[in-house]
Amino acid sequence: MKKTVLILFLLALAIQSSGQEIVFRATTNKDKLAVGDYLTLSFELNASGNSFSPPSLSENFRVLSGPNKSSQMSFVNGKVSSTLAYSYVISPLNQGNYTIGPASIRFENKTYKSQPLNIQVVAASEKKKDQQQKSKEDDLSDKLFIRVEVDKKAVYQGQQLIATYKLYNRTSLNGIEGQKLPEFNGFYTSDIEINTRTNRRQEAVGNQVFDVYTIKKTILIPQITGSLELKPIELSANVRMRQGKPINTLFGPQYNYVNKKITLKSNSIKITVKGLPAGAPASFNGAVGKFKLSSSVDKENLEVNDALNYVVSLSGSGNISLIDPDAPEFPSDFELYDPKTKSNISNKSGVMSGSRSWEYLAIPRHGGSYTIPPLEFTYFNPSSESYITLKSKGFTISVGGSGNLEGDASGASRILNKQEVRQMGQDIRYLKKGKPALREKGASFFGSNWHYFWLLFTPGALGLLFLIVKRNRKLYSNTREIRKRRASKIARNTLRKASVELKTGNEKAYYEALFKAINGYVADKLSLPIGALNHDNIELELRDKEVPEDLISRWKEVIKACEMARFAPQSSGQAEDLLEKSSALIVELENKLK
Amino acid sequence: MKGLIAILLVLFSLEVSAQSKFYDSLFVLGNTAMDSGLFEAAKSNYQQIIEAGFESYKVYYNLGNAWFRTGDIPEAILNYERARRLRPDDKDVMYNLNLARGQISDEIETLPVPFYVSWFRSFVFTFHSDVWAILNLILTGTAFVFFFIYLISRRLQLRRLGFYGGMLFLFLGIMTFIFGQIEVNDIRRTNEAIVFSGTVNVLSGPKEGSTTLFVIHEGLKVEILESTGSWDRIILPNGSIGWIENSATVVI
Repeated sequence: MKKTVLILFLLALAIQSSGQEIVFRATTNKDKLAVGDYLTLSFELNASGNSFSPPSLSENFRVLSGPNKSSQMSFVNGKVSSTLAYSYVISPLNQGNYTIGPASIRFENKTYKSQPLNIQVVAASEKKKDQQQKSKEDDLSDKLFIRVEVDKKAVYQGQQLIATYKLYNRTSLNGIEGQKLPEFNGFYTSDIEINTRTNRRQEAVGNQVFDVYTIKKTILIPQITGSLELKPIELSANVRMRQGKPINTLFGPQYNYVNKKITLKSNSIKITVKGLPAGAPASFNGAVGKFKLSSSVDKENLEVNDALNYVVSLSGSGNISLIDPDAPEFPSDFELYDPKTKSNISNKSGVMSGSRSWEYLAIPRHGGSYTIPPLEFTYFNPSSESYITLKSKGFTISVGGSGNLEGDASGASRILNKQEVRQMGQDIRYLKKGKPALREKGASFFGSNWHYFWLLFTPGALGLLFLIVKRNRKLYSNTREIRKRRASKIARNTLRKASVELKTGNEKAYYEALFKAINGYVADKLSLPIGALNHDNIELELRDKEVPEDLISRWKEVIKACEMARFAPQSSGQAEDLLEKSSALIVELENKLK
Repeated sequence: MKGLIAILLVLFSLEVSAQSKFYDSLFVLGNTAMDSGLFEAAKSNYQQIIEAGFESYKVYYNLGNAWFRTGDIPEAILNYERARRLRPDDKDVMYNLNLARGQISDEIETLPVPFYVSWFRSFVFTFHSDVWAILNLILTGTAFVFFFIYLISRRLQLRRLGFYGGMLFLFLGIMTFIFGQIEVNDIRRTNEAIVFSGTVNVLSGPKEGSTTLFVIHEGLKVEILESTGSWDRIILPNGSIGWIENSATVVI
């Protein structure tokens, strides 16, 4: 490293240009200071010299640092230049005026001397005053503030004004944050875009120059009259500030710097909004400014059910975005649809201006010649303080073709105009007519005697019927009982008859009587009608009555024997045997069929 | 079904035939007067019918219309309410009543009725009480027929059918009786009244000089909770309770 420096140094000496004027200068950073303060003194040569001899400093100053040697070399456009500097940090010992004597240096066998310097040293008290001044500077309200400016303080309702919020700065501002945007009650607002590149400007306030930034610029259109207040804007700014006492270092007093957050609040301004003068024409609907109105149609000759475009356009400056001209009065044979609105409004120039257009679609439903009346539009001009009425062009439209909807061949292009039934007014509904169906007050069938009568009638009638049925049943069952009771008696009689027949030798009659005795007995005992008498039936009934199987089979045997004998005569011995069997069967059945 | 009911109603001869013919013609006369704008004449015609002790929702409805036309809203509301008592499901009555209510100065928010209550009410009022009575007769009769079958039948299946069928129809019959009774009670109750005095102070007690709790105006319907002497304790549809003199109201 040292070697390179040396080589460069030698090189510099070698190519040292001879045409350059050599200057040796003495400089200080201040020429007035207080006792105890610091001063930087430096001697500079625009070449590289040697044999530097400093002036005598120790009589009046205390040398805190130095001599500090520094050298610099630069190549510019092939030329080499070098600087050599010796610097001291000194502090005065007493107050008074002192002269720092010349220093000398040698370069190319020539000795150069610096100019002497005059230093004024003041008493320490003066320095304190300076410090007081500094602490005052902590209060930044005259160095950093926000102001609101308006271009007009009194406007008409609907007339625009511009409010500009500006930040004035003379401090080391690091940034702003946390904007609390003002509310503009009673105004329609439109912010103007701020160009950040050209935002910063210089402006003199009093005899001081400030950096001025525009924070917000807004077009305001008052919607109500009276005294309206523009509320202040609030934001917090970060400011780099010195803090505390300076710390003495070798390089002079050093301060601690801190970022401090400061809340700034602008002033508020009262705006007087005047009401519009009386006597506005009927077609006035709040437009304030300066406007132009025009209207156009795309064709003046068309067929029934063709679409007609009718365009109303309004251009100018003022509260254009807030107004609508009245809808055109189309003849009732035209079907008019809601307009398509286009708008092109800007506030770049600081004035709300531009154009808006309303495109109406109208469809004639009948043929003929129609007039579209001109459209009227009135605005208030605040500069001339008068109402101005504009009138657009009127048109005559001739519609060809038949106006009959039903006869229209191109049914596809027809749009049916369906509407809901609209409630026009309210009224009570009409009278009730017809038979009034009068009744005695409070009378109703429910709960009436008739109701209760009929309610009890059915159970009563049915109960009666039930009683009758029950009695009949009883009677019927009585006859059965008698039949049952007398069954064995009848059977015995018949058996006796049968034995008589047997004795007389009339076998056929004997078997018939025997058959009748057994069958009749069973029928009476089981309460079976004679018609229902067949073997299967009787067998079933007997089983029902839980007659033992052997009795049933014996009964079957007897019956079969009787039937056989009736058609094919048997021997008399067998006949007597059958009679005995039968009477025994009847006795046993009598026991079982109680 | 309708034919049957008509026949039964004729059978029970609820139409007081001979006498009511005259009042029927009064009703027609009143309607004609209404149509020609003679509201006062129409009113007297309708009122004669009512004073004679007859009523019909049509008479009350038309009388309400007559009062409405002459601008007496409380009277109109009273008559519409009376018509509604007799025919709660009639849309025209309800429409006119609501329209008339819209004209009075008191607007009181009604406490919401639980949905099952309103469902039940609208179900009960689907039929006129007389229809409930007929249904009650038919169902109860059927029940007894089933019981009869139960009693006389020997076959187990028939007896079973008779018993359970009879129980079912008896239950249905009892239900129809309850519904009809509810409806009849609702129609006959006298616990609702319309305010007829222009402005009425509702007091904290049945005594002159009690604290005025709130003020009601003519045309408002109030429910009477109890009566003491000439004082009624009333409750509004929004639940407010207080005392008013009964001369200020007319019972529906």
